[in-house]
This record gives sequence, structure tokens and C-alpha cells, in this order.
Amino acid sequence: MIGGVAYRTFLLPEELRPVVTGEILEITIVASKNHWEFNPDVIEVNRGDKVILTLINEDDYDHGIAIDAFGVAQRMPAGETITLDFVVTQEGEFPFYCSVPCGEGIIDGEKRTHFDMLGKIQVRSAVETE
Amino acid sequence: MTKQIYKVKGMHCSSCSTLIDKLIGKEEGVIAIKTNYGAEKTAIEFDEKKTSLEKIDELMNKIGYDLIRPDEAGRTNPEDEEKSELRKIEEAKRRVIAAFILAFPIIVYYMLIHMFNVTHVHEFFDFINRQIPALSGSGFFAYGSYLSNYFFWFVAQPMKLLVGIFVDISNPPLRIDLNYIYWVLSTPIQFVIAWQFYRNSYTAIRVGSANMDVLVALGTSAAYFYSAIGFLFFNIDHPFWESSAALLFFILLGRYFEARAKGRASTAIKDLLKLGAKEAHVLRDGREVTVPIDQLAVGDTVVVRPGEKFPVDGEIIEGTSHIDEKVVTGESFPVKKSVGDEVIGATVNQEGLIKFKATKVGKDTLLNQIVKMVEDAQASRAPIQNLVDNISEYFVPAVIILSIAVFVGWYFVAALPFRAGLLRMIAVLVISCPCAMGLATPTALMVGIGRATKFGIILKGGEALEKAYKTQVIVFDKTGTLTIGKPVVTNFVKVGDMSEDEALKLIAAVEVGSEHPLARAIVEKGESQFKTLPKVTDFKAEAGLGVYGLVEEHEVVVGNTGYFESLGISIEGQEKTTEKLQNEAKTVVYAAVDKKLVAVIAMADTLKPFAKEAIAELKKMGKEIIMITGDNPKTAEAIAKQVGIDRALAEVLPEQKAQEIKKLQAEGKSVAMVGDGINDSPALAQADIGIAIGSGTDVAIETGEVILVKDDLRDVASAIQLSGKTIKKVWQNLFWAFVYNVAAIPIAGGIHLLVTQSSLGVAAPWVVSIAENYGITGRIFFNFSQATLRPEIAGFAMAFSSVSVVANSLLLRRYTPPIEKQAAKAASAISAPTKEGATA
Repeated sequence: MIGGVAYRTFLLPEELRPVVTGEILEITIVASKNHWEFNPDVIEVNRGDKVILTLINEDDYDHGIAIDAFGVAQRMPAGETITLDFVVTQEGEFPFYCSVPCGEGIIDGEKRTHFDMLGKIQVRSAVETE
Repeated sequence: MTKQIYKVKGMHCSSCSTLIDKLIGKEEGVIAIKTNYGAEKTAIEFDEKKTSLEKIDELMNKIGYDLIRPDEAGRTNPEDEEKSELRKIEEAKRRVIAAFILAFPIIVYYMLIHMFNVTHVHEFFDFINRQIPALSGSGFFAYGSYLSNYFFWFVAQPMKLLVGIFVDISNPPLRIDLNYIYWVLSTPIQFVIAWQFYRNSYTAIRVGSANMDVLVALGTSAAYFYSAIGFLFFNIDHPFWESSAALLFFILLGRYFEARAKGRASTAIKDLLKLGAKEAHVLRDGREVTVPIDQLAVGDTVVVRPGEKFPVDGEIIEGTSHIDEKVVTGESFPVKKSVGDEVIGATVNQEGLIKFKATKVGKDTLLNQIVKMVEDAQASRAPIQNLVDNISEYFVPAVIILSIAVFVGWYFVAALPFRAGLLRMIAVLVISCPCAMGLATPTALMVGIGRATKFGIILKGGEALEKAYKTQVIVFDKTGTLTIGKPVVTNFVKVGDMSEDEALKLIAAVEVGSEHPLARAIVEKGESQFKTLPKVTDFKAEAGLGVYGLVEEHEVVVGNTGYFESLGISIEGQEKTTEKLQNEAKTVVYAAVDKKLVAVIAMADTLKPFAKEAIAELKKMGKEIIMITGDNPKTAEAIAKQVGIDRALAEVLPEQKAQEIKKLQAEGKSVAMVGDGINDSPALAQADIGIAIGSGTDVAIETGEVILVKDDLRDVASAIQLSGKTIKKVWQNLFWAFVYNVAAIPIAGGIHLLVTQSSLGVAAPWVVSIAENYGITGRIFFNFSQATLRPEIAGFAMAFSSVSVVANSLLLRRYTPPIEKQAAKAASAISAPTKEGATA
């Protein structure tokens, strides 16, 4: 534990240090009725941004949103809108997915299920954009 | 300096014994202390000059336990203990039932949702208003989902009716989140029903050790608090109540099975003491008085009538009789005794009136010495160490350190947000909850014991099973175990012109008058051939020689050589036959009709049916077989040869039997003893595992850990085979439970990402190449390799592994030991032809 604190304070390589730029990026994601998808499902952000997500659940059952990398795990209650925020401190591509079993159905002749309800956050390097 | 073993009360887990050893061991004057949780006993060596037992007891009370001092011992009798043991099991059962009732809705709901990806309904009125489901495809999961939905709909209907009385359900006045209901259900499980885990953890932490209870408390608390706090304050996506509720239910179930499999305390000693006579007829001043036996003194003259038991040990001063000493010596034939011979307490006087002088009374009698031997042997037997406890000694600290390391790694080293680290730490704690491990042993043992009962084998506790499997040497008592224990006619050699049937009829008829066991054997043979036997008149019995009588106007004489010589009937020409039979350790008598020899009859104690098959099977299993008997070497050898045993120990006195077992154990062998008599009980208690024959004496049955109800020796092999299978199941269960934990912990902690990602969020090249080259399998592997196990999935997986361990144990119910299969085949082979014969 102490080692961990020391590592984070003194030894952490520069490129791994959490970057907080103070930029705010607002994004709205919709789970449209009976579609089992996040719309949009790819989000591009810059490293260090504070992301404010507005999540709209149009279904009359629950969904959830989980982004493992940033410790996000929130419920999207039926027919409600939630907002949450987090800072993308690290660079890379991080998946997010629906974390509440929400069944399955046929959309436009194609079968979609809870397991298809995925998306990813692409975090670009902060240096590049500056 | 005193070294003594005392009973300790109030221990509730194995850490308690460590705590006692640690704290009491530190006291001044205490030289050594070793406490055993399973036996509830502690061995203390202390210096009386520096401390006293009272002081130690006081200390024990202070840390929450109670030492039973010898002066208190009288207050606790075995019956009370048995009752409190039963109460404990009852309590465990109540806890399991309560946990089950509360956890059942949660378990079923979450299990089905996760397994079949059913739409999660989080609101009460949505739940009861659900529509009749429609099938949305084909295949296992589609049907599973369909059936689950149907099941939920089915459950919802009565609720709809009931709630509909009070509120308009199509337009509900309020919304009730189902999570509130789960919260209400799981809270009492966590803090009331499963309080013992917190208590035990506290004890364990006090001694600086960690047992499984610590992990249970940690894992379930982590799950519970994450769910409760997350749900109430942070709107988390997925509270997972089922982890805390289901895991605790399964662990409680495991504990309950464990308590039941432990078996109850033996009441052998109580039964042994019941055996002796309660009263004695003593001659005092020439008058006969009946007194309780504890008032007998050495030197008293005691009268024993036919059919009565000798109250104490002594020496005959008047009278002659046959005495049945089977209970004590195991000798099958009553022994003839007269003036000057020794008699043993608890043996039965069969014929004459006997007066004897008491030479040993009270605790000096042979019976009481056997009691003492049984007591000693039982106390000295070390209970089996709990394997799971041994593993946990290392496993628990490792898990705790790992979970901290995971948090440190994600939060500090990888510098991710606090919540990302916390979630993974919780996942690690939840998945390492050792509930499948706790179930592995008790469930398999319970099923194994239950299965054994089906074959007529009673196993007293899981320990018996474990030991039966380890047995290397099996010692059989002879009389009453390998043999029937009474003489039967083995040879009937006809002499002269009279037909065998005619001769047997006359001989059996005359023997009806005699009560001698040899005579009974002949009568039995006669009666089995001719339903009724002719009447005998003018019957005369000469004690120790033979009988005479008139049957159908023939003079019939049956007796030994001496009797025939005295009557002047020639037995010439039969010396060879006689010698041959006697060499086979058989008792030979002659029979004459009208003063002419008609038959030579040999009798012996014979083997029980299937004894041979049983020994053969055990030999095939690689066990060393030894026969032990108080009989003479000749008889012993004859029986050993018949049954196929190579090593026979003859003329072993009852008190030496336990010694012989000890000797074998000293060679480092695990010894099983099979016996039936009281004289076998010390040996049964001394052996690593005592196997008692169901037809044997109560004492032997109480002393033995395995009881063969059917009196069929093949069950010895069955018991060992079944226990082997059961132990294998235990290992299988443990292996899977353990491997599962070991494999899942790194995934829960995201440790595998070190290998599968080249840097955070970027898949390693080798993973990418697999994903690109192996189609759908590659994609699945890719997804799995990049994700971590979320806490609720960890909880689900944990509960699921418990279910699979229970299911694996239940498979044992289908197991039939090979020897039972053989027996069944043999039985049908015998019955089939007779059926044909009957129809023909």
C-alpha cells in the first residue's frame, strides 16, 4: 500500500501519470427502444477530458452502463435519463457495455441481445491535440 | 507437575483451539497445552506449584470457554452431551432453513437472469404485470429464457391477484424497486443468520491466524455493502444480492452437513456396563441375600442359578456347569467348569447351580477392565486434521494480500480512478469466498454415507469414511465374525447297513432331549431333513459323555469315545476317519443303534456364507488380511485355510487383541478391525477403524465406526470401495473448487491484462493475431482476454460453482461398489434356474 502510494507519487512514468486538462466534453448516448444498442457506440475523446455522459433509456426495462477502466458502473432505469461524469486520465481504447441483463429480440430481421450492447471510448493522446 | 486431559466447552471453530493454546500457553506454570477442537478436549501439562487448575479454568472463562474440571465432570453426563450435540445440529438446520427461505427468491431470480439472459425487471409492478412470454428462437438458451420468463409469469399471477385487492395494479400509485425487497431479504442473512462467521473471524484474527470464516465474512460483506451502499446512494447498475445471500446459504448448508457427518458420541461404555448383572445372591451367615453388585466384597460366596449371569469374577467352590463365555472370550462353545475353575463376570451359567467365591469386584473385574480399555483407546485416537483448514492457513492471507495488491496496482500503479480499483478488489474478495471448498467435503461425505446405508452399511461420521479408504490391514475376529459362532454338522459318515436317512432320524430324535450345543447341531440337521422327529423315551444324559434313549423301539446312543468304551460298543475300524476329522479341528461323536455303530458325526463352527468371496475380493484390493482368535492354533488354522487367510493369530486373550492391533499400527499401518463380540471392543476401539457385525453385541456395534447391518462380510469390501469412491469425489470437488478459485481470482483482479495487453487498453499483438486468425472463436477469446470479471459475475460464478459441487456429490448416489454388482449378479444367477425349475 505504502509502496503503491510512493510509486504513484514519485516513480510513475510521465506518460502514465493521470492527465487532467479541465476540458469538459458533453456526450449523450441513447439506448433506443428495443434496439439493444448504444447510440452512438464509439466515442472519441481527448486524454484529460472530463466527460459528462447523459444516458437516455427509452426502453421500459433497465439497462446499465459499465466502463471497467474508469470504474463506471451505473444503472439506467427504465424510461429515465441519468448523467454521470468521469475524467479520461489514460490513453487507449476502452470498451463499455450494458451491465444489466436486458433480454433479446429481432431488429430488422437480425437478432440482437444484451450481449451485443457494446461500445468503446477512444482516448486520443492529449499532446496530439494541443 | 501434572499432565491431564480435560474437556473444554464453548469452542465454535478450530481457531478457538489455537486461541486457547496461545493464551493459556503463555501463563506462568503452564508447560504445555494442546487443544483439539473436534474432540473438545485439551491436554494440559502444568506445574502445581506455580498455578492451579482453578486458575487455568478462570482464564479459560475469561476468554470465553469453559474447562470441565474433574470435580465438575459428574455434572455433565453423556446423555446431556448427546442432547447438546443434537441441539447444535438442530440449530444449524434451522439456520439453513431460514437462510434458504430468505435467499431462495434471490437465488432463483438472479441465477435464471444470468444464465439465460432474461430481461432484468427492476420494478415490482412491472414484474407482476409481465406478459405471457413468447419463444424468441431455438436452442438451449432460447428455451431456457422462454421457460424462465414463463416461470416468472407464473409466480407473478397469484401476486397480481393478491396485490390487486388493495391497489389498482394497471395504474400503480407508487413504484417499488425490487432491490428494496432483495435488500430486506438479504440483510438478516448477512447479519443475523450468518453472524457466526463474523464471530469466528474475530476469534481467528485475535490469534493472528486466518481461517475460511475470515474469507467468508470478507467476501460476503464486500458483496453486501457494495450492493447496499451502491444501490441506496450511487445508483449502481447491478447490485448483486445473490452473492451474499446465496453464498451464505451454501456455506451454512455445508456447515450443517459437516455437523451431521461428524457423527455422534459413542455410547459404547454405557452399554458395556449394562451387560453385567445388577444384583447378586450372596450367602451371609448361611442365608442367601440379594444385594446390588457394588456391595459385593472380595471373598463373598455368591450363588448363581442356571440362566443367570455371574455378577463378578471368582472361583467356583461348589457345583459343575457349562458356562457361556462368548460375551467375554468369544469362545463359541460353552465351557465346562467345576470346583477350582475361574469364572468371569457377565458370563452366563447354563445348567447347574454354582457357588463361587468372589475374587475380583468393582473396577477390577474383567468387564470393567474392558470398559477401561475401550475408554483409553477411544481417547487416544487422533481425529483427522481438517484438510480445508490446512489449506486456508495459506490461502486466506494470500487472498487478502492479493486483493490489496490488486487495488494498489489499479489505483496507484496504473493510476486509474479510485472506483476502478475498488471494483476489482471487491471482485477478488467475492470470488475467493471459499464456499465451494467448504461444500466439497461435507456434501460428498453426506451422500457417501447415505449411499452406504442403502447397502446396509452404517458409517458413523465422515471420519469413518476417510479411514476406511486408507485401510491397509484388515484384522478379522474368528468366532461370530468369519464363522457363524455355533457348531453345525459338517460330516455324517455312515457305518454299517442302516441307511443314512434312517440313522440320522433316530440320532436326531434322541438328541432332542439334550441342551448341549453339539446336540442342538444334530437336531437342527435332522429337523431340516425331516420336518418332524420321532418321540424319544427313557432319555438319559451322561454329563460330558453322551446320551441314551429309546426311539421307535431302538436303543440309540450318541456320545464320545469314553462313553462308547464304557458301554462296550466297538468303534473299531473308524480310527482313521476320526483322526482325519479331528485334524480338521472338528469335534467328533459316535452314534450307535441297538449297540451297533451306525455313524461317525463331525461338527465344527463353519464359515458364514460369502466369507470366502469377501476375503478374496479384499485380497484383490491389495489389503493384508489377518485373523485373530482366542481359539487354539489348530482350529484357527483350519478356518484360516478354508476362508483363504494366510496369517492367523491364535490363542490371543481378549485383552491382548487391542495390543496386537497396536503392534500392527506401530508398523505404520492403518488397521481395520472386524469383530462382533464384547471381547473385540477394545480392539475395535484401538483400530483406526472398527467394523462391527450387525448381528454382534450392542457394545461392539456402539464401539465400531462402521456397522454391517446385513451380517454379510462382503460389505467390508463394499464399505472400503464406497469410501474410496467418496474420498475421490471429495478430492475432485476440492480440486475443482480450488482450481476455479485460483483461475478466477487473477481474472477478477485484472491481473491477466498484464499478459493480454501490451499497454493499458491496447491488446497485445499475440491476442490480436489469435483474434484475426481464428474467426468467431478468436473474437470470443479476444473479448474475454480484454475484459475483467465484474463483481456480480464473480458472485454468480461463485454460487454456480457451489451448485456444481453439490451436483457432483449427488452423482455419487448412482455409484454401486463392484462387489455389490457381483453379489447382485450371483444372486440373480441363483434365483434364475430355480424359477425355471419351478415352472418346469
